[in-house]
Amino acid sequence: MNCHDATARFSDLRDGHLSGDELAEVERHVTNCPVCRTEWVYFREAVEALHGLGSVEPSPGFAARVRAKIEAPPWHRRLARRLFIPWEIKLPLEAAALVLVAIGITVIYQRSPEMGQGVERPQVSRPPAQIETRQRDGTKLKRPAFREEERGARQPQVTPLTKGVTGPLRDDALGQARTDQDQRSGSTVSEPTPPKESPAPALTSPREAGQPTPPAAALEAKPTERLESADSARPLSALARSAAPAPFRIITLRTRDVASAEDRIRAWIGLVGGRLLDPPAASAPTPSEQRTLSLIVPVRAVPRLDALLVELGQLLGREFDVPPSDEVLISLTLSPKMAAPSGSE
Amino acid sequence: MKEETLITAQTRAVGQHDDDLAAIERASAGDGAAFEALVRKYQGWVFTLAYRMLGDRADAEESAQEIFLKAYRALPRFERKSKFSTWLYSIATNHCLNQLESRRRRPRFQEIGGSERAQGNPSPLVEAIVDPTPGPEQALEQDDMRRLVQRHLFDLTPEHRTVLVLRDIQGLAYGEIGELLGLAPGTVRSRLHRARMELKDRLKP
Repeated sequence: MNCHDATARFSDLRDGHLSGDELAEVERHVTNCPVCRTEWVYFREAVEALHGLGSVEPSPGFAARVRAKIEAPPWHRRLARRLFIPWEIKLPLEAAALVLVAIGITVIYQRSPEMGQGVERPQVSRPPAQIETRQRDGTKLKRPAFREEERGARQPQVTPLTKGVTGPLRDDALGQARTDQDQRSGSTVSEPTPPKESPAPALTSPREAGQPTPPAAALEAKPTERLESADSARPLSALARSAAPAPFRIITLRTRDVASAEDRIRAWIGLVGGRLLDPPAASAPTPSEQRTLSLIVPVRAVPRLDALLVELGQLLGREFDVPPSDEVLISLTLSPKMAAPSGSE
Repeated sequence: MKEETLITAQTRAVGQHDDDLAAIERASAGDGAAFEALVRKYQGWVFTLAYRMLGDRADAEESAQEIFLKAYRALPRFERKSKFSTWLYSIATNHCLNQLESRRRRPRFQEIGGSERAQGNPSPLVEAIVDPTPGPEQALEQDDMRRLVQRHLFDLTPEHRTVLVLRDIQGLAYGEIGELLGLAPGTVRSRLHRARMELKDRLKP
């Protein structure tokens, strides 16, 4: 047995796996060979050193920690719990989100009045087809419907005034407004003034006309009529803006002498700071001729006007509910009152 | 020479597998206390294996916990024919080898130092990193010889380190080592001899 054979059996020799002749030969070689004897000593000490390392214990509580881990819910359940279970955190977040959304909607709504108008006036939506508009010369003019909607959106404040203005009153107001505009702007351009003598008084007393009192909505022009007169209504709205006579009254005064009543009214209105939109008639009116006047009267002077009219004759009429204003536009019809038999009134 | 029998606490635990069966049954049914008893019984063996294989106390404790968690989850698949200890040691050994493999892919300071010492050319910087002032794991090794052996043991290849730890520290028989590592007894014997000779050469003055 040589040194290589002997060292190859060191492990078996160390672990007691050799026996018989093989064990005797290895022991004999290791005893007689100084190199192998030294190597055997180192080999045996190395293995003994490994044995000397011994066992190592984990830190105290190791088994309890392992048990806690095996009894802990699985990771997906812990994740779900972290995400959804802490309601005390999640609910306030949701509530805060709702509050922020509500505040945002409120701010947008307040800063965008068009949005509020769109909500309040859903009837604005009309067929997208072109709308036929009749011009003054009778020709029809086609234009997109949205222009009408735009005009309505730009001038929402004149709607109450134009509601009840029809017929000669509108034309009279139109002419006066144009005169006022020309005087203010210094413009020399003159447009044809509508005829002052209207063929039929539109603001006659409902009782006299034998018709029921028209409600405010009934006085509003039909959609087609409004579209046809949209161009002529524009100066009136300008007048309304300049004079701001938002309230509106329709009054009929039945008097014995229309001419003298008109004179009294013309004299009186200058004293209270009001104005009369109708110029004096070209020829002196007869006492029995019916006249229609458009007055702009300060609100504070309305009771005095009523007192004057009561003094002049029998007063009929009505007043519409409109926003408060400093002045009131009054359509006054002076109607001749026939002498009634005594005791009839 | 008579065969030397290594009697350690771990080998005594290996022989008591009959006592484990009842605890295994209860633990399989979800009894945490029964599994905690098994952990107490085998924690020394598992932790020693992890510490000698990984060379770091914190890593060893974390790995030991993971080994027991793996064992607990695999309990329903445990075949009662084999010893619970052998089955548990197999899980522990494979886990440690996997840890060493993942470390090899992600080198750390200790392994860099170890490879340089293996080449016989340790730089002062690496020595300072590897052997700083005694920490918790160094405190465990009161004896300089133990520290030296542990360091040289860590310098061996994982295969040599494993058979040395299983045989000369944990005291398993050749057959058990072959069962754990999936090796033939002759392969275990030759690999163990080469590992011992390499350690001897490293420890030789």
